Amino acid sequence: MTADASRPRVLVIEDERAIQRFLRVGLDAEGYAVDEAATGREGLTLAAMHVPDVVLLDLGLPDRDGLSVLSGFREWSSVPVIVLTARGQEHDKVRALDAGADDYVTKPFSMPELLARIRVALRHRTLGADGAEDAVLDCGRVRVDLARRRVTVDERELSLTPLEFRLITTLARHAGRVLTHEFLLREVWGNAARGQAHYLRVYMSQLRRKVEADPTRPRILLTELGVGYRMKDS
Amino acid sequence: MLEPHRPAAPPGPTVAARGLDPRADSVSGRARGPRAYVLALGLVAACTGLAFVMERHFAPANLTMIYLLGVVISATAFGRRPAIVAAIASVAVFDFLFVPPRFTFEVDDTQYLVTFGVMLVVAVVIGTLTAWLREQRELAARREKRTAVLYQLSRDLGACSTVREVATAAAERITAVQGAPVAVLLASATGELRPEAGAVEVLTPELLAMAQNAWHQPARLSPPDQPGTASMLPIEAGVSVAGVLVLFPAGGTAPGPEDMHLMRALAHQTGLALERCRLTAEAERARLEAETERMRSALLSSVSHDLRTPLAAITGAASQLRAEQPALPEAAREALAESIVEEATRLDRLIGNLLDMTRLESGMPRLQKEWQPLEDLLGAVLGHLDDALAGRPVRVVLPEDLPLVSLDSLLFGQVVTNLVGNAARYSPAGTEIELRAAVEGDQLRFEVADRGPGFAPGELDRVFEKFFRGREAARAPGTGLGLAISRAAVEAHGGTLVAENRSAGGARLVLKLPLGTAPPPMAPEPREHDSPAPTS
Repeated sequence: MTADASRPRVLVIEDERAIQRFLRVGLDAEGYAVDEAATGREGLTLAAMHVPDVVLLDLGLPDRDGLSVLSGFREWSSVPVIVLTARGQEHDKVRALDAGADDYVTKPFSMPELLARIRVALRHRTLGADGAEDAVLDCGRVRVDLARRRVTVDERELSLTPLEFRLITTLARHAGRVLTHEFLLREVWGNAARGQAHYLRVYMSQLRRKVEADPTRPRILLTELGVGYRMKDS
Repeated sequence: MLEPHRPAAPPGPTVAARGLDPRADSVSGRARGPRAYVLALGLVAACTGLAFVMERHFAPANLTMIYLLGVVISATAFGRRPAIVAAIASVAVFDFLFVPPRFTFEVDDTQYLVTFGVMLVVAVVIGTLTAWLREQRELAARREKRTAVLYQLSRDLGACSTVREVATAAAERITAVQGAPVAVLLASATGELRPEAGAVEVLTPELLAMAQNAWHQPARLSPPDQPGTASMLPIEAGVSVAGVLVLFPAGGTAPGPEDMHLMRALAHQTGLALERCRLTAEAERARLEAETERMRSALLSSVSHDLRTPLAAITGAASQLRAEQPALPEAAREALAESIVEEATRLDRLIGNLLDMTRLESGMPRLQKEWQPLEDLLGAVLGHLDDALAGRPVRVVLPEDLPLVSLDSLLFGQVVTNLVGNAARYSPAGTEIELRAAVEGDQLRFEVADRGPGFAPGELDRVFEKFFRGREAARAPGTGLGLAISRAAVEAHGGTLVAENRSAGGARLVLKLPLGTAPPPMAPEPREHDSPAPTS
């Protein structure tokens, strides 16, 4: 792989050859520079050497627990990490997200799905980098005007309670990324609401009735069962 | 010949009467010990008084009849030995007081010697006979009591189906019979002797050690040497010793042979019941094993077929792509790629179902129940099913005020996915699928209905069996696991899931869940002007 400085660099830490192979093909075709590591140790070394723009981290590595690799990264780097997990490991997903992972995809996943997640992660990285926040969060159909406290969906202005406004702002600020129940509760209600996930669920339902055309078939405010919520990005 | 068939009576009180029924004394009305002899002699004195009164009108020979009467009464009331003493005393007193020369033991007329002899013999014979009859009666009563006790125990044990129940029932019954605490210790599967039922709290380490000994060497068992210590009885079940019965002393005295005999019979019966339980459990285990074996082969045949079909499709499509890619028209390449993705999805679903089934059957990890609006979960599931639904109309009818329900969202999401996925697979494309929820009493009723062919009559319950493929289902791809998993998952939530046919045609699956107590109330939302401006 020729290291081209202008191309975004993806570090893939994954021990399964088959998955490594199709990831390399797909990422390569999409114009990413790909580094590959089959163990957590190798991954951490490569990350220190080549400073990737995005890390894809398999949680089931042979040498060490994926979560410990993740916290290894987080000690010195804020590089976006997307976790690759298997079905039925929702608990691990939540732990990984709470430990600083930016997103996850569940195996088996489709390449377009993964590429979309990588794009979201890269965009948030550039957003985070310049420090200042836009006065308007534009997430496609949803626009949040922070200064004027206005939220519109498809140009239709919503009348929101303060908590609903705070909730949709938090989701919009991280649009495209999954946010865990714990994270949303902390951001919107503060630490006092820890473990009161039903607060969040009730408010989410209320918000959906205002945002979605059909709240039983949400298109914007998506539920990730057992993990949290995600606002659909443009 | 007159000696009754029974083991030599122990000196002093009869064991059976003492041990088995403390009221035995008063019931039989028998006086015992020296008191019997005193009373017998008192009876002789009374006869003497009567004889004095009658002397004026009767010949002395007739007075012997009065004494005979006294001896007979003594025999009946006090037993053989007091009767013989009474007979001898009667002869002596009669001789002394009534036979000339009176007030001496001399006898003028040798005829009286015959009278004495006959009187003595008659007294002994009658005394022995009446005593024998009485003993027979007592023996019969004891046997009856013993039979009744054994019958009661066997009736109690008959109602038991587990080892624990047997132990408890036996301990209760034997405690009642003995009138003192008993403890039942049973051999566990790990080869230890463990207290199981009865007065286990008073078992001291010494007693436990004694029980251990008794269990290891049942042949050496004997009643305790001294009164006041507990006795150990092996509970024999078939060829092995299933446990030990510890009998605490009743009223501080050691149980006699009669008691031990009955206790042994009770222990034996308990052992038989334990053996019966063991055999029943073994038969059940064998049945389960056979069932598991049957399931395993059904699983294997289903899995090998259902896993291979999508794999065959994937292999076929992928190999064509590899070999002929340049020659293939664009549309054909897309169709092949499409079929690879579809079949892989199907394979993933199948494996997911198999894993869910295994998890549910091997004793689910604890449900992660959380209070949530049903709408939230339905939205997520329907979102995932977009491809399977292929733009088909889905009507969701939820009352505005539907309360929160406590669910494991992943497991329950799987249930809804299975139900809606089934509805989509088994009803014609384009027909409506209806999801409807309502509160019914203290339950949530949730149903998924389609406009397909419905279930064949007689299949309504069988569709929940693992690997059962209905008449209609056989034509569509599936594993026959979805409904089985769904029912198991709903039951894990304390609910029910049944299949129905809609009157206007189509299948309907009705799920009912207990609503439980309402979740803690929400904190009221701060008013607009209190809230800080939501900027970071």
